[in-house]
Amino acid sequence: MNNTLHDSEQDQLRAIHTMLASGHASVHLERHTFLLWGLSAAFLILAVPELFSRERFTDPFELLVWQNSFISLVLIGTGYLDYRWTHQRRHARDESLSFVQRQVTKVWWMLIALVVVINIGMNLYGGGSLFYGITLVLIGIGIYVHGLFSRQMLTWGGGLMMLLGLALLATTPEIEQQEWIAASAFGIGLPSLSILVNRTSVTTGRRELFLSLFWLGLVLSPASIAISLSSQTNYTGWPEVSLEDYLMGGPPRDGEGLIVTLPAGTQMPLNIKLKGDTFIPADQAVLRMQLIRPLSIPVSTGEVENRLRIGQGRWKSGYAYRIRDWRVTSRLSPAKGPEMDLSLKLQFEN
Amino acid sequence: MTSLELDPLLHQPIRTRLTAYLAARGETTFTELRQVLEVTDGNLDGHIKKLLAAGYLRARKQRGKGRPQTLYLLSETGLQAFQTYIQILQALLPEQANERESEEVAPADESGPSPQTT
Repeated sequence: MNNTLHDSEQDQLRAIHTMLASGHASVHLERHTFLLWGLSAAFLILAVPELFSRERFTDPFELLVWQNSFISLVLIGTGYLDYRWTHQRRHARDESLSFVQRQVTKVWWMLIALVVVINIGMNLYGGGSLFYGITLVLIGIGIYVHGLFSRQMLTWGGGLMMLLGLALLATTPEIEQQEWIAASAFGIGLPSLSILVNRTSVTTGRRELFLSLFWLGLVLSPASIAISLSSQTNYTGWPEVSLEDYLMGGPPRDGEGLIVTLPAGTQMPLNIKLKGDTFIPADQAVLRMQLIRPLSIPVSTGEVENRLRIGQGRWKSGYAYRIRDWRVTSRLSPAKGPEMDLSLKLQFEN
Repeated sequence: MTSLELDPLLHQPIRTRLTAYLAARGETTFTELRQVLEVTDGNLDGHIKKLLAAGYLRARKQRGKGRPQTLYLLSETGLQAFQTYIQILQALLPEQANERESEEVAPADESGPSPQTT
């Protein structure tokens, strides 16, 4: 009799525990949310570098203002659409947004604002090669936190996105490759994650691991295909001419394209423009650099294309360079007076 | 009611689960409660009416596009009664089971959103 009484009380406590857990994990992301944010992010990643290039905007401050205004506008528009559609759908189903979901949404907005602030910071102070890695980590954290109050599969997705971001930060591949990986992680990864989450209400650890690996393959395969296709721009049919021939023959006629190859040892003047808040701007300095490896440059309709190839490597963007270990030091001695040294490492390959 | 007497209003499986869910989730609609508790409209309506009459629940109308939504949330009285109910349940259990269960139910009075929060 006493045991039966205890069983009933234990059952009540278990039922309470189950309902508490159910109430806490009541956050539910609509499918359109994944789709909207994923496609918007992928669009921004692929379109912003094209729309707001250094060729179009020569003034860095102008570029900063227009680029970030555009990004903010797209994100706010996406947020507004998501808010409207989510409320409409919930209302139609006579469901409400839980307290936890409202709080998690605030965290989301803070993370997204942080991504925009980081982008502004990188526009001003450099470090752009880390942007996509950091963004993936931050959004991964957001998805992971969301998953804690929702389906467990989301925590796996968030964890994988963080890992992907950390891998980009550790290996820092070329910016074009990072763009494709990040665009695929958002544009394909988020919508596919919504399908996996909605189809796996009850899962085992092994099944979640399998689905996570499947998701990773789904994200990385299109990215690697896109990277491979974009690097296969091999300028087939374009004649290769030496620098000497190019200089003798002048620029090609309209519609003609050619590859100019600069052999190792070619002298390449490096024009330096320096300005700041302490000196009169200097734009006459020229450093005579010498190539240690052959360099090929495509020239189309008289214009140099913003791509290059080092040796027999693959074609890459002219922006695929890194400035590392830069340093400014100043000295003062009775023999030489005041002097300044500027040192940096310019790399076109990782 | 003696100190170890269970609240008869909460000591009913559906009402216990309903109260626990609201304690964790905050406010919710009739449809969601029906789905979570897996009960019929009439059954749920009866339980909600009892809890509303006792002042354990509060109902709030939310207007927007289309018909207004009714949201249900635990009142301060309801939350206190629920916490007391859990304490009494735990006190009635043998010590060993009590330790295990209290670990599981602990979040009820610590991390659940305030019933006043909307």
